[in-house]
Amino acid sequence: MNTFTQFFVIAGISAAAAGGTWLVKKPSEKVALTCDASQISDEEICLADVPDTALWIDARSRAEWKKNGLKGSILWNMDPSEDANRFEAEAAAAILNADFVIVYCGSKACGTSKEIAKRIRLLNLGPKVKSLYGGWEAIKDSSAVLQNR
Amino acid sequence: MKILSPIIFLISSLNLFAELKFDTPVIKAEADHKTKTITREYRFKNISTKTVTITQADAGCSCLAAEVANGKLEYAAGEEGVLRATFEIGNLQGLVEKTIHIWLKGDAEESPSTSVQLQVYIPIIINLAPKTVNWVSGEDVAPKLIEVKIEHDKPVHVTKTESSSEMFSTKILTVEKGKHYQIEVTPKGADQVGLSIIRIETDLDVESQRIQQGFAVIRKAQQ
Repeated sequence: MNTFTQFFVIAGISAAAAGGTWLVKKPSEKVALTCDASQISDEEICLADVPDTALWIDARSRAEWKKNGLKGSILWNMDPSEDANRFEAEAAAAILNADFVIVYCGSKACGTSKEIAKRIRLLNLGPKVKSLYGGWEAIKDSSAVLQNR
Repeated sequence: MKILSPIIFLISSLNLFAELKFDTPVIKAEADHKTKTITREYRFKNISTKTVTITQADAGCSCLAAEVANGKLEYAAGEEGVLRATFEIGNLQGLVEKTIHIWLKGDAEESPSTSVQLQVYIPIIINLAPKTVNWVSGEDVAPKLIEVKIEHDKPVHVTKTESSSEMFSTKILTVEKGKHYQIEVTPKGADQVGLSIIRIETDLDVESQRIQQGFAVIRKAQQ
């Protein structure tokens, strides 16, 4: 088999492997992150539907929040080394003055944003509270949101 | 070698049927008030026909560490292993549900192959209801109550309460000593709007829940 033929054999096998992987393992989450409001839970919101005036709560680690948290965002996570009462107290005044609160964590998979959103709802301070579908994965792909940082 | 190269490439590329099957993908656990960490094990089996490599197991929360027992990451077809999850309770209370995602070699960053869940119930020893008492500016400033109910194996007393703002005064009312108290919160006037943290101190022997907090709010009247 000459080099030319060998190249096409490798390319063919690669294409077959890639296609098979795509069929079996489904497209990557990058595609799934296209948020359809009718397909997500009532507790979640698509990035496109977030009001401009929303208060952002960052449920990632303190280090991540410091590194690239959204402008005006408030840190509130479930890190056992953090003071949960302090998070709650520091966020309460801002939440009271907000009409919409959006909680985001690291990714669609992380789940912490839903936990924090639940805790905020229990405070019954008034605003609607949702967790962001896709979390930081959705934000980092959105130039519109990042421009406001 | 010329024939072998594409075959080796094919074998290394095909990750089509890699799959770990967990015996119990959802584990429920209940902590008692002295528990600081909870560790649970998830047994799994490689039910695919090829060797798989675990590249990452992550719960997206520093409260939950996930590791494969003995650090073994490669599993041949039919081989079994154990994923160990250690949950640090910290000052969390109530039901906490955490999902651990498991990535195998070849998985996209956003698409872990599989996941398991740990549901931990941490007893709420001191329950406040409501957590927030509200008034509207310009309206009646009658006192409102925050109920403090205790579920513990020994009496717990509310020892002190205070408002972070001078807009409110607080008073401890005993309904049943060691079991049930009320915090009476009274605005000193309703001509201003604002929020105050109502700090409630107890003699509970569980440090993480010893101090509780509620909120008092005077809102602007709707126009």
